[in-house]
Amino acid sequence: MSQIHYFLVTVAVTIAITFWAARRNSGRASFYAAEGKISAPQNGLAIAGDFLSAGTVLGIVGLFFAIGMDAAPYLITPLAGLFLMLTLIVGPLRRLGRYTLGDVVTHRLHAPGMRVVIGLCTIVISLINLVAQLVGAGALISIVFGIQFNLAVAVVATLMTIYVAFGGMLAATWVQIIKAVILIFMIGLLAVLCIARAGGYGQLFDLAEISARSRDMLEFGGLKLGVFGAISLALTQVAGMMGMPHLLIRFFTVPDEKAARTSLVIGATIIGLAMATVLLVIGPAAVAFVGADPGLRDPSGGIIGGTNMITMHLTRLLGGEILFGLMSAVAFSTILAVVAGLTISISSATSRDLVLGLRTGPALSERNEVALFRLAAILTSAIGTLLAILFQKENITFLIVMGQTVAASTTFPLLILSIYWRGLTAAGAIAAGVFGLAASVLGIVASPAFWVKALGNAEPLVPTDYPALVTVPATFLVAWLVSAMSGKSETAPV
Amino acid sequence: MRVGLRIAFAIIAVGPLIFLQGRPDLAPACLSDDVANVPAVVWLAMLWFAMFIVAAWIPVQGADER
Repeated sequence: MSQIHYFLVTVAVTIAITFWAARRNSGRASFYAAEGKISAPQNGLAIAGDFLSAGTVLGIVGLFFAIGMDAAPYLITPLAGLFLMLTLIVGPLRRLGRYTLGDVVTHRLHAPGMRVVIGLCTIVISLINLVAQLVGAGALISIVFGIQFNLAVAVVATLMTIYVAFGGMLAATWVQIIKAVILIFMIGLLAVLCIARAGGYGQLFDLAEISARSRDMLEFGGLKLGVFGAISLALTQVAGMMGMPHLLIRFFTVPDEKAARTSLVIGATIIGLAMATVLLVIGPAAVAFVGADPGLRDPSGGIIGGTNMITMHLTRLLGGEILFGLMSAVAFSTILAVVAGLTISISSATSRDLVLGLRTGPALSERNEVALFRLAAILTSAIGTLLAILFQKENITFLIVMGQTVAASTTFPLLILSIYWRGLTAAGAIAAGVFGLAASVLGIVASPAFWVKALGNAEPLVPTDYPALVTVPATFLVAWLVSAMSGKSETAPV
Repeated sequence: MRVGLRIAFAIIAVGPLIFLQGRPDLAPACLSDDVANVPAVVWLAMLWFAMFIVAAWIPVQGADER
């Protein structure tokens, strides 16, 4: 079987799941939250699937290849974020919300403006992540399947629209679960093959050292972040993880608070084991085997297809065409599952938070709300495709960090404050949300990665690529100041 | 484990990792040595992953009795 056959099988299986789910979907609760009928282990796998995106798995191997052990914080600090999410957010989130983050932040302050702000923040964060995934998908699929970037993005966007518009959260969750199981199996298989080829785990590092002609890859500090940059990057990843809407809405799909918490424990365990395997086995193996193979270098000395293709090259080296075809299908299904989850996040924020916040007349009927959800999915697909084509040359890691920075500066403070601080007023929450969104986006645009590298200016307006250490505390400060000035709020204990 | 203790654990656990990123010149030389044929820094990374996985399984005090 060639890659195209694996691709067709993947599409057939995921479409079958979608139509199975479509027959079971009965309304708003199905499309937003799979009627809360997903079990804790199933949701744990879906959460792991959301985290283990193509960008994470393929990107981290590429990152280890390029910067060695400096890739470790990109995995360990988000794991700390999941741990703190488990500690601070998951329980209250499931207890206070039904379908969206807007339900949680307005649980005691029934201010429509708050719903609009959290809805907009959710849309911006998820759209940035969607564009990052689509850019990565386009590049990967165009290389693996030999089709044009624009066509690859259009195929992914069309499929994700079908999953979400017809199958809603139930289809997106089951596509994610199945993909997670296959991906975890493939990571394990690849790790075993890597160690077997090297003749032992210790020998893997000897071979990597010979291939890299240096032991520097095992030292920290190559990114030259400095103390401010290192702390700010860690804050971006920890708080960004805790405010990531497409992960958080997964906790509405389980029956209760305890199941939500159990699902994250299971999810964090799978993520931790998978990421440790990717970083500490597959990463060094890529240096040892792909790095040592001159046939995988282009004329300029770089890896053919770029660093995101390193895992694919490694798979072909160790398992031949069959394993390469399987890994291509897994990468493709990974992309589909993650973009479907992001589309649901945007669609539900639009059809629920924006509508409830902006509409002044009678409430929408359930039928109309579902129709709006579907329309939002189609629009998201179109806008996402357009933006992905527009930003196809943009660095994917930069886009992902941008999404994390916005989440750390908006949804994270709004959730923490609305859950734990009784003094928060509607005006304080709205001001904090608007400020966090504006400050984080401006901070990123003015950073060296965007202002200098993308826009071609000589000097950046701010000296760091990671503004979260300023924007996150500033957002909390704005919430406190405006809440203090706008008087006492109507309060109730959580 | 109490909520405050869990937050303190997370900060203390990732603190050294962030410190090594920001001030690599202060990293102990022994991180470059091998332990059982595997670089010490790799064992350290394994320890970080393991710490968060194990800690996730310890219940948040009072949360699951609701």
